Amino acid sequence: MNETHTRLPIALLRQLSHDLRSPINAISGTNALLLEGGYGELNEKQTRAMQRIERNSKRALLIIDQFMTYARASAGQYDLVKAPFEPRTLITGSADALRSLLPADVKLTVSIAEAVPQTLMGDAAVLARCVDALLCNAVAFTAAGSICVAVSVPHPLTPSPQAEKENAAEATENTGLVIDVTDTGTGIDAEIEAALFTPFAPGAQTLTPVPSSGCGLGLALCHALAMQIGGSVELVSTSDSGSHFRLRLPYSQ
Amino acid sequence: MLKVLIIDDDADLCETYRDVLQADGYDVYAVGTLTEGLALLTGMLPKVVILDLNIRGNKGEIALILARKNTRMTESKIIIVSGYPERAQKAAADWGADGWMGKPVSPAELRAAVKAQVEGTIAGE
Repeated sequence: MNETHTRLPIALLRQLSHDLRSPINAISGTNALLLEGGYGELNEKQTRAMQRIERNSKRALLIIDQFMTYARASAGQYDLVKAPFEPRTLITGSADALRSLLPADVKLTVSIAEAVPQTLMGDAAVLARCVDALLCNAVAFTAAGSICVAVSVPHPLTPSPQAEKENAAEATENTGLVIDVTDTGTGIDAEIEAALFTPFAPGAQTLTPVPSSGCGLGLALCHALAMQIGGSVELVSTSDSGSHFRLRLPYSQ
Repeated sequence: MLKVLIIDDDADLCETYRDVLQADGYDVYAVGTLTEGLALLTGMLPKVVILDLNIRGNKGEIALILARKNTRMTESKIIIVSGYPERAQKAAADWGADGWMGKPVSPAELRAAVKAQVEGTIAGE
């Protein structure tokens, strides 16, 4: 992997992020005031126009956030938070948020194995960002058919009596989540496949994202975050009838 | 009314371009996919097409649109737009588009570009 493509200068990006936030703040703040009627009543057409401005201000901030997060994660400097979270709620929430972007002929389903616990310990944002990236990718390339998200655990969470005796402290650690995202889309061309998790590489630039999802860093960000916490993401298979990605993330209970 | 067809997968941008050009009296249609764009192209014979170079799902359809324009729809003018201005310029030259613009495109730039193509005054940016 080319170092110049994966290690973005964090100090430079931090400055850029900071410098962009003020003008975006001026735009979004003034716009919010306009929408509230702070400069007088708006008609329907004006309201729709202001709402467009609001959506795209948020998109701009999302793009800045993605760049910053990618830079930190690819340098192994993403600040991980360890806190309890509910993986079922998080994953179904991510899927529900994308439903409005689905083409009419695409069905999105989520299946979560019974063995997946109600609560896990770890950084929920990593899971959210990775699932969002995989779903946005599937949405971008699936014009008809289905997108399926299947969530499972790699190992049983209930330790054997023997394991409990031998090491009760480690019996339920690092069980993790396995998330399979399959779609019936157009598949990924061979020349893009090699650069799939690399940002700014020639092939990756044709993977234009879902407009509301930010920029084209999604898969690269997913990869960097997964790697930082000891997980992985891979393209299991692809053909002109669809693709299958698998995300593995270690979490404890 | 002269027809303008916008082919861009950014729905908000399409709405912005449409508002600008409708105010100038054009009959504006906007679609988000190349498939829809290709279907409308020969059906409605737009005077001007605004075509996003980086639209999702391009597997040669953009070149096809331009080839069709050059062979069967010689009255239609195609302006390529892109967030990569240098690529828009190169694609326009390579594929025989009538003009190109780099995003962000201001309302004044958009109006001027479409007007120039309609009036046949400038074959370029």
